[in-house]
Amino acid sequence: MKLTRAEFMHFKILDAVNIQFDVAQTNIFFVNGFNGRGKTSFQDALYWCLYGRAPEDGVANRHALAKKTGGPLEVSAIFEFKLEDDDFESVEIRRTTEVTMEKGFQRTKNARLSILGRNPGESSFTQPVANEEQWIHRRFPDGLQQFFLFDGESLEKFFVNTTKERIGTAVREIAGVEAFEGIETKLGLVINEWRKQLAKGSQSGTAVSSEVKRQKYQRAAEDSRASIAAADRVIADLEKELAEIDLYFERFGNNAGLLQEETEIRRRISSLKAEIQGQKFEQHNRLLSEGIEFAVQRKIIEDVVREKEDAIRNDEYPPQFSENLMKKILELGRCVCGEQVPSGSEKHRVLEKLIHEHRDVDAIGQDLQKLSAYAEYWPSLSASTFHGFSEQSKTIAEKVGEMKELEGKLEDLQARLMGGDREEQQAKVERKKKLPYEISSAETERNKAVEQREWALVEVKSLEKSIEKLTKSSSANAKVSGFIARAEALNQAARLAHRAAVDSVRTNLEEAVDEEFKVIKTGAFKTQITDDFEVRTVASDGGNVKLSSGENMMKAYVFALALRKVIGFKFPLVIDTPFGRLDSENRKRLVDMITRLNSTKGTEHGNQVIFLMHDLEYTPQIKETFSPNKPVEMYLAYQKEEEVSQVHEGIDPAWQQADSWKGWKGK
Amino acid sequence: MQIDSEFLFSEIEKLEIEDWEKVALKKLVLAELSGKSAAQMREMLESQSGGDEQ
Repeated sequence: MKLTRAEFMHFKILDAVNIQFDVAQTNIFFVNGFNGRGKTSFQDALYWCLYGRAPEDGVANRHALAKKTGGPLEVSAIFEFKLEDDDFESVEIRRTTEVTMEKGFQRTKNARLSILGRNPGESSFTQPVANEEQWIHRRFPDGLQQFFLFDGESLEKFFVNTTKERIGTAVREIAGVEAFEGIETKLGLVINEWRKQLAKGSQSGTAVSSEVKRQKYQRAAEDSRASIAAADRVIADLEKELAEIDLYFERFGNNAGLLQEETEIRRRISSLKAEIQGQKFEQHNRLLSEGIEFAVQRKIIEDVVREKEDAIRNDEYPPQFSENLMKKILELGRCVCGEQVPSGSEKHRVLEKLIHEHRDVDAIGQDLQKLSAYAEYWPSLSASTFHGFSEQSKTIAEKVGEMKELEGKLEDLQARLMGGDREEQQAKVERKKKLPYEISSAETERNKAVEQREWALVEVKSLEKSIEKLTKSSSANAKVSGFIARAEALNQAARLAHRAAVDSVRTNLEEAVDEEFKVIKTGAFKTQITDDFEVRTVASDGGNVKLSSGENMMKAYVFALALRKVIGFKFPLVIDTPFGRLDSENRKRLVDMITRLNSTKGTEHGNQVIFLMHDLEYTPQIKETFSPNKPVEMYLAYQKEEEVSQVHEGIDPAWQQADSWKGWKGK
Repeated sequence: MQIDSEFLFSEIEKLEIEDWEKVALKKLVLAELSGKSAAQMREMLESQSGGDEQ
């Protein structure tokens, strides 16, 4: 199957664009362009056309939609495929919709999908295909879409996004287990009908009630199976989340470790702050209770005495004490002569009045004189109080020192931490701690459901035996019993075949992955697809082989291509930013791999590859490496006024101004 | 997706089951792929009973 034409009308940035893919010439096509020129729109259009899933930012070209008056804007995407061994020689798949702008969002209505076929010798597409969605599902299975339509930028996440569950779905789909599962379900229904018939035919009340019970347990077993499947999905989602977090931290270096350290330092600083504050508070209370207020008052007295002496010296007695000094006395919350003067009290108010209005400093001065007498007691204040005070001060100083040191360390750590959303990173660290507990709890639920199912099945079996005894007597029943026995044997055989088909596909896939991966990675290893569809690379002792980030990305490609090989799947490989984060060595390997994919059987039978690349990716070196494949190069040129891109053949002349293409002479 | 009945038949052939089971299972595969209902399958099994064993 080859894509021969793509046509878009008002679809995102692609408006009135018609791209022809001359598959008689080559299987390799590049649709290049600077970022923001419509490469992703091309992939979005294909998704939308095949599966009806619109991109988040809407399907319509914004400029055309804004200009449109008097009705909705019609948007369409058409993809024409040349088929092999199918109903038609070619088909044209067309999806259209009408778009209006409502409250800032694109609203679509009257969406339509049509598929028209064309036979050899016919010039146009005239023959409609019935059951369009089903036709698409059979040829472009949604479950396999991620293996032919993906973004190279997210290759690192390939085995995260492509969960074990999805790989399992793909393998089961390839193995055709749908057919065996259908047989198993239908045989189950038929057997149930026969059992009912058997119980009724026996004329035995016990047989009938046992049959009712049996069916109840059968339903319980089915319910438990649904619970097991639900728990499996929860576990798969949680494991995926955990793998995503691991990948996130892998990408941000050792941020997880650094963040952990940062959290611990922050906790220690916060605890030190609390300790210092507590000790200071204690020290303060202790000093207050033991007379330190005298020390404070003494300081004030000293100031008063100094101001008084200055006044006498300057012949200004009685002295005009500074307002500031008076305020200090009041702030102490005590009377200058030791009496309590609470803030807001009458005495406080009078004192304030004295200071501010009458400035009767002489009277205040007399009080202060009295107070100065307390200062006489100062030296006799307990020496131990001040020894304890200074010891505590030393401890506080040590803690302050430690805190300063940690604050310095924190600054260094923050400098080492990479950018990005710190809160997000912190949230991921916390989430990572919780996930194992959530997984374990989901596993417990699953085990409980497994036990319940086993118990229900034991009951079912036991009831079946007793019903069998009760219904053996009549010859009519013997015949029905015979049907049941045969159907059960066939059901068992279908289950065996089901399992064998899955195992067979799994083995074929393992071999196909190994064959290609051995070209990329040397050493003794093999691919193993586990029972729950994890794609592992294992050493001879069964242990996991550690793969580099580049090897992991290449493994994603190898797996996608192996799947095509096993299934005989020929849908074009459409990849946005195919080289993603691959290093130059792996880029070369990818080119080799694509070359091998096409060189074995010639253009007619090879796999069509459509790469959507930007200027930093499709460099002159990559162009050179690909040249033996004679790829068709196209580029998307942007028209700013209309906010649309057009497609032209060759290399964008504007690329020659870009750093990655400077010096390229247009060979 | 188009299920390849040849692949399914080859998997059935590999199984260690009785011949009549292989024949009957293949018939069931064809019935399933052509969209037969449970009632139609029941009819098929009732009418075939005994025939495949010979």
